[in-house]
Amino acid sequence: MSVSWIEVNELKRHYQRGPQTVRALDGVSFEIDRGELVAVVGSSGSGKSTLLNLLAGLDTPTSGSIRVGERFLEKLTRRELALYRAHAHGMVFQSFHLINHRSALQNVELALYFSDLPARERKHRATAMLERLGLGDRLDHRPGDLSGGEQQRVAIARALVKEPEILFADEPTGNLDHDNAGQIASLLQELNRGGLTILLVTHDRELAERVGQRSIRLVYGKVESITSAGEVTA
Amino acid sequence: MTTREIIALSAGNLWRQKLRASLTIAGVIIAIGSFVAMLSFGIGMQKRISEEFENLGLFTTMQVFPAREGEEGDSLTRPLLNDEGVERLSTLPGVRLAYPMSSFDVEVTYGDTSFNSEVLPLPSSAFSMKYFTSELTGETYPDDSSHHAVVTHDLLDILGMEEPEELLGDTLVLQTRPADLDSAIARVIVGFGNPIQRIGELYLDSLQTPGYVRDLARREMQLGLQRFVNGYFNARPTLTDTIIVSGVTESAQRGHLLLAPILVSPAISDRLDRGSIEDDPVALLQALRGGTFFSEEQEARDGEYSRATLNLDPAYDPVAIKDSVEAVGYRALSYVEEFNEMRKFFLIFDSGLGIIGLIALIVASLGIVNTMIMSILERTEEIGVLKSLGADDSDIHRLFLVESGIIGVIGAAFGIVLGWVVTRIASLVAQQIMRQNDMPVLDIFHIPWWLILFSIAFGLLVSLLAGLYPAARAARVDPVKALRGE
Repeated sequence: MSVSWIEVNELKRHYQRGPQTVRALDGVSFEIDRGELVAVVGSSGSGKSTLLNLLAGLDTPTSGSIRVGERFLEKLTRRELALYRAHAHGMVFQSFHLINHRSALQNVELALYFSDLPARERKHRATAMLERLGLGDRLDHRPGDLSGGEQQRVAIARALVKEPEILFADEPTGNLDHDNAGQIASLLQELNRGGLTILLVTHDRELAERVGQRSIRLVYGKVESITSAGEVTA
Repeated sequence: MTTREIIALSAGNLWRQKLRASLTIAGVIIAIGSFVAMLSFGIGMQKRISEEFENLGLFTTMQVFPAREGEEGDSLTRPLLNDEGVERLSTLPGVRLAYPMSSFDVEVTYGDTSFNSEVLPLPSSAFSMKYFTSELTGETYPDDSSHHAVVTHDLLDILGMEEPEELLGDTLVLQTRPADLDSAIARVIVGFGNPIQRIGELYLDSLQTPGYVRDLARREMQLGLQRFVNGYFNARPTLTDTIIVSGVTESAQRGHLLLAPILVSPAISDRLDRGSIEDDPVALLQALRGGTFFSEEQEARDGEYSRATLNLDPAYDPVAIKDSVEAVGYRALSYVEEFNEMRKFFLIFDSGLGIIGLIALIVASLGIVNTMIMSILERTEEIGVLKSLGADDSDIHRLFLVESGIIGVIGAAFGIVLGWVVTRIASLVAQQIMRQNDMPVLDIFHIPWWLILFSIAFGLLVSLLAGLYPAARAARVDPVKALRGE
């Protein structure tokens, strides 16, 4: 019996907001194999982004466990979590989160500041990644000078330049028009075909069905269903 | 992240906010500038005094005085600071030279001009001390029987001369009327005329004489007494000697050693100074009790000197020499100790100036705190991105601390330049005032290397302290909230 690469077990994340306890995630369990493209779907407030932040090591669970390969994230120190973020995964956000005063190249290069690469190598890799994503002529452009689709591709380049094990994408097409959204979706599929494991968080069921090999549907912090591609859900 | 990468990122962030960073740095520049300017004043003053002491050889000079009455035993056991006492001082370990410093009054005639002045006998060996030669124009006298004299600038002033060369080689005629018992008594009566005056006052006041009559009677009484005394003085023989001015040295009271306007060899002073009790009633009474008469040269020498000067071997500890002098029974004034006292004063003085500068720096540091907190608020998203890319809390902490440190270092560097410019301007103004007042022109400011390094280190330290709270706050930023835009 093969052991899955990512294992989430009875994961809970509760917040205290005044006298009220918000159960953003309340006992979520699932598994992801290496090389899968899994979509996490659900409406706003279902806990999708909370799940992604926990998997990315940006947040810590109230209880439960997350295993990524050999690592149990809830047992890592802050320093170990930072190293995990620096090397194990890349993140793509709905609003890109590019640093506006830095060029496209500098934004991508920033992801390599936490590796031990020399400056020249950093620049070489960042340039190569941007060229690979079709932005070779936009290296010195600032985010404000790029279209939404180009900005998201810069963000994807930033996520991929460190050659991560997994890509976490949080509503990557949420701020894009239809054409650009289609291009990003195709890019994610292409990357997945290249062997990259991707966890895609989206409220766009169509996108999830188009690119996801499996979909995990969250409702009020709980897994309502896990479906494979082609399965019809209610 | 490496330190180099952090410095590059921090410098880039400051460069983006040029105006705000410049204003914050300006605060540090002004604070460090005032700190440097004020401390350089204290340091400059201390340096000038130290150089003065060094140039005059005061670190190897000690003044010795007779013990005060009742301080070291009674008057019988108290050692006298006479020739024998000076000789004894010269044999103490570490003492290279001992000589008395006791001046007497003379009447000086230069050409057609006559005036009263003071003469200080000084052995020719004393001129081995820097004090007498550091500002000397011309030459000293070669031996202790020479008929040459070294005069001070005070004498030039009396004669209305500007340049020392005008007096070199010229002759001065010195005249004295040696005191005897009668003249001494008379002088005591006149100089300390209170007994007679008091009797007059008591007598006249008791008769309730009107003020006018009382004043008139008192004035007549004084004039009569004066005529009586003058008669005695004028009846005395006059001693005369002619000397040649071989050298001119700096003014009389420089560097604490009180010099008379005319310095002569002991041979000349032996001829002229025959009455040493002058108008001191205590000495007079002691002399009367001992049956001493003052017209004889040797007897005059038996009197005490008011002080003696020791030239010390620099290899010896001046404190130990002072202890030896005090063990003999004299009082001693060590210039090294005096200098140390001055250093203590300047330490307090400099500390006071430093505290003023520190207050300015604290105000500037509040500006740094404000700038850094503003920066955190504006860059919260960036901090979230950096954390999502792998920055840990310490990376963010260092990033903001380095930004704060850069403000401090740049502020300190330019602050030192500002401090230097301020001291140069203040020095020019001060020197102009010195020139206008015929004072020696000195640079009263001094910025040593250690002050430059200390100011940079101090500016850096204060800015780092100011950056501690903002940096800790930045490090605590929750990346999830930062990326959500909260």
